[in-house]
Amino acid sequence: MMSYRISQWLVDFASRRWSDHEETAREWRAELHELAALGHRGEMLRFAVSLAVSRPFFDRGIRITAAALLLAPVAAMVLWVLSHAAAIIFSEDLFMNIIGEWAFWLSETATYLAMLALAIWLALLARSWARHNPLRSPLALAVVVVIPSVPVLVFSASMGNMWRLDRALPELLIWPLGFALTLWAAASTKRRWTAWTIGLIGAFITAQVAIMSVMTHVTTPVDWAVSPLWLVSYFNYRAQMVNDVVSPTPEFYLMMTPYALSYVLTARRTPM
Amino acid sequence: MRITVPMARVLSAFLSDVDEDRYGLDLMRLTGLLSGTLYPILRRLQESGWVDAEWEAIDPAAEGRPARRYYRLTAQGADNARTALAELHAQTSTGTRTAGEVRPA
Repeated sequence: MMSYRISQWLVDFASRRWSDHEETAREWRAELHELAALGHRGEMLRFAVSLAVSRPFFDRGIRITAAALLLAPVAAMVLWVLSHAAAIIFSEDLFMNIIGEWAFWLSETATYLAMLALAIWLALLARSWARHNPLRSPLALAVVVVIPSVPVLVFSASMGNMWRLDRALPELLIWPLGFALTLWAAASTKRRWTAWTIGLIGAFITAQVAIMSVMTHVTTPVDWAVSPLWLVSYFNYRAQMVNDVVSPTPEFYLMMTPYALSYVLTARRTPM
Repeated sequence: MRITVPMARVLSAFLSDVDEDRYGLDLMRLTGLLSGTLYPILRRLQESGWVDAEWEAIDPAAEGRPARRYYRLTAQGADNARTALAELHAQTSTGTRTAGEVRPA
């Protein structure tokens, strides 16, 4: 009796690591029942231990989900780098030849537009990846999307000024927390357009607060009256000091926001 | 799909009688594989469409045991399995024979 219970516990433990765990547990319990009925205690324990120590099987959906969640933030970063590379290769020379003094501003604008286009492309891809995610809880989806982006955010923060990372801790806490709450709120909303509106506004406010937290470390005088416009001015390069201090994390936020919203809202609405 | 020696054993067991439905313990006895090796192989075969799985339609109370999950090769799976085992056989008979060599059924 004791060996039967231990075996049951082991197969339940093992099945929880598999993607279709309820069906799997039912199947293995049926096999255990047969071994117990035959009085094959040793075989029963061997059956259960073998499953408990073996590598679990994840179906294709789980593998796609894991790959998408882990690699999308990295992809966002790579696309961000490509946008800048493209701007350096094509835009500056081209714009410099044509319109001289506006070259830099046009080049930056072209970079951000390219970035936005790539961010939207990533968001469109995310729709097909999200359909494989077995999670439907808004909070769980928000957490699993945000957590893998944190290492990339830290890396992104470290790419700015060298002094920046040690002062970026509030930003590294504010953005993941605020963005997860935003995704949670958006995914909890029934209407699609309302969800997108909440998501975009929440993402904007979160990014804005995150960069304001970085600006608190600036020793030179800062005009806080215009601080609500810093995120906007970052992308049209109207506030040079803000760009110098907070770069490049706002660009990472831009790349991540459409993807994360698209992923969470699609997964939430996909039938089980 | 990569055909390993344990997978070849499972395919051989299925091909020994393609019309026979098999369940986990049955396949373990036929192949000598441990449960921790067998079930991941069955899931991979299912995912690739080589094998179908179906729950036994019984009344557990009347039978005095829970329903089993039965596996059977699909028509395509049977063709693929025969081809894969034949290829494996050709490779092993021209190369060095190993202790785990498997012949097609």
